[in-house]
Amino acid sequence: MIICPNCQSRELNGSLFCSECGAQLVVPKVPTTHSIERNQTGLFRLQTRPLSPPSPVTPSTAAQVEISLHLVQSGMILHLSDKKEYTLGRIADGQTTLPDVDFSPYEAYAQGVSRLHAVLKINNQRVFLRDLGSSNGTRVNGQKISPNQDYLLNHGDIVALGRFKIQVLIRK
Amino acid sequence: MGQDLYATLGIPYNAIPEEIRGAYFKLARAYHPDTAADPSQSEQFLKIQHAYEVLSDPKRRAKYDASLPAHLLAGPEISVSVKYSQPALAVSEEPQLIYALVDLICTADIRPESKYSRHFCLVLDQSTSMKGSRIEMVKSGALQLLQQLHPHDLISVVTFGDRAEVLVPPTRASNLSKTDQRIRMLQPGGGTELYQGLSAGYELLLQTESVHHRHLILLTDGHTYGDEDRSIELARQAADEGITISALGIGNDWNDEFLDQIAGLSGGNCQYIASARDLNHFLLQKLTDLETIYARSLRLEFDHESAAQLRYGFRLSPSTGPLVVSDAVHLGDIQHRRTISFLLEFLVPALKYEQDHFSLARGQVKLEIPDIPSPNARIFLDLHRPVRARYEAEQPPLAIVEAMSKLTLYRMQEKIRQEVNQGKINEATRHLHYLATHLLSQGDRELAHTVLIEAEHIQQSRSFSDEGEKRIKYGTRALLLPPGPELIS
Repeated sequence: MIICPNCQSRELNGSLFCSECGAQLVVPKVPTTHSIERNQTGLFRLQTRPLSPPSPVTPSTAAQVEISLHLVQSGMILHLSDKKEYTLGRIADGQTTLPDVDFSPYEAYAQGVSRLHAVLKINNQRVFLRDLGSSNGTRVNGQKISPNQDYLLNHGDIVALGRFKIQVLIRK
Repeated sequence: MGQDLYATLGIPYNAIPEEIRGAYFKLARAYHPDTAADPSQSEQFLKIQHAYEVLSDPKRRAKYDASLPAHLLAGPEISVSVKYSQPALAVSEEPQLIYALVDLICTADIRPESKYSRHFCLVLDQSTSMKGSRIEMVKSGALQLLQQLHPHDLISVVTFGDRAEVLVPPTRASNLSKTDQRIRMLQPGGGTELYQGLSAGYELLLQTESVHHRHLILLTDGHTYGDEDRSIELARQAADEGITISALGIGNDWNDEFLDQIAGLSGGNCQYIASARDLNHFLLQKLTDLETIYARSLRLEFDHESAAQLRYGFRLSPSTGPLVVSDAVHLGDIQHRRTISFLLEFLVPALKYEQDHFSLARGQVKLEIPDIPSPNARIFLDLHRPVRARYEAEQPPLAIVEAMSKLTLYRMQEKIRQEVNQGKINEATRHLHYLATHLLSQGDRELAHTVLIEAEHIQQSRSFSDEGEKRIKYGTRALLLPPGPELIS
């Protein structure tokens, strides 16, 4: 049985799409971008590079999923690596729990991003998004997702934290 | 050259030994002097005997084959490619689904001109409701078709209202005025006795030899009452005769499920005609398709019952439409250098053991190639997967995911219709909203809008509007059309 991450309906093994809500249950083979960098602070820094066609790199270790975030408004690409979970949000004064990925330099506050807005999780080669009960909600491809519930992401999905749009690029 | 030994046994030139033996035993039983009713058949029995003796002996068969023209032995110039949604099935207590995307690729080159003529039979609804712009559209469509025909093509026209009438008996296009008075003066009136019309058209087409392309085009705008079963039976007969039926629905009142079935049985198309442009476009496309036909009446026949159940079949190309899944699945015609692709969904029951070869379906695609008269030409199709202890994490091929992403929407539409019919209005509304969301994310604003309006309509009146229902059905089906240059006049 597969449980649809969107509507929780029970689908037969081998299903490609949810027969109830039409959500995609599998990830197709697609070429994606990659290249991972990380700085010492544990925070991920944005690289000012235009979106370019993927360049060949050495194949990463098996069972590794690489995620890049393409910030739609600014055109920047942020590469993530090494962890199984990344919290997304913005850093404000006096905050105790800091997000792994900080969008505050990109007018995240004005766009309605909460301090701890959502979390990206990699589980068994798949990437899930969970809204952490943010004030302005999270949308995937324009569809609002319920808070505190995992939602399967596909390569190229547009995630909106409030009005802050990010395209998620996944490479396996 | 004497009698063709393969033709004597009624087997294809690339028959395998089992087929030769099977055909021989069947014929021998029928023609054996001890059992045959008519003694004059003994001569035929000797021929069968001789054919079997030659073909069952590999050396003699090879020698005989060498005396035949090479193009006969080559077999159909169609190659088969199958993609599966998973590399393997998994041992599981639960039933599971697997998808197979089958491409039949015709590798034959276009011949300069086919020597076979085409016979188009137009079966036109002249019921009272066709009055005004609809009948004018049909008339101009028919006349337009006349202009485009080759001189040696045949055309016939049947009209039906309260009864069927042969308006134009089968006539060579060269002998027909391009502005035929009989078509121009057509006046609507009466009911919609669809079976009468179909049956009259079918009779006319039977007068043409089966080696020619015979196509029946049904144009209607209404429901027929009480003769659906007979009409479907007739469509089945037509399919067996190699006659293809296309069904075109005008306006919003016609019974699309019924027409889908009529067309699906013979591998033809069913289309929603909203404007004169749609009609002309369809007729021209049909004309061109029949001109470049390589093989006709492709039908997929399954050999034996498999443990897997074929749950759903859908043709993706050249035209889209659900396949009527039964013992024989009619796939329509194939053109030179073109591909037929269709997607099959199999429901596999609980699997207890690992095995290397679990058969999903085995069968043959039978076809007729007008240029190469080989009896029972066929292509083998064997769909199978190994069964492994657990799921291998593998992404399905993009082509299947893309096709399914759109087919899922079409099937949602089918489900919503069912729910509305069963009075499950809340479920239907919820599903319509899901459908609209997906359409929006695929960028189809117009159709999404139609879907949302329909959701409101259902809330208020507990049923679809006729127009919305068909727009959504044919709109979601059109999503599956391959993007590419459209054929224009």
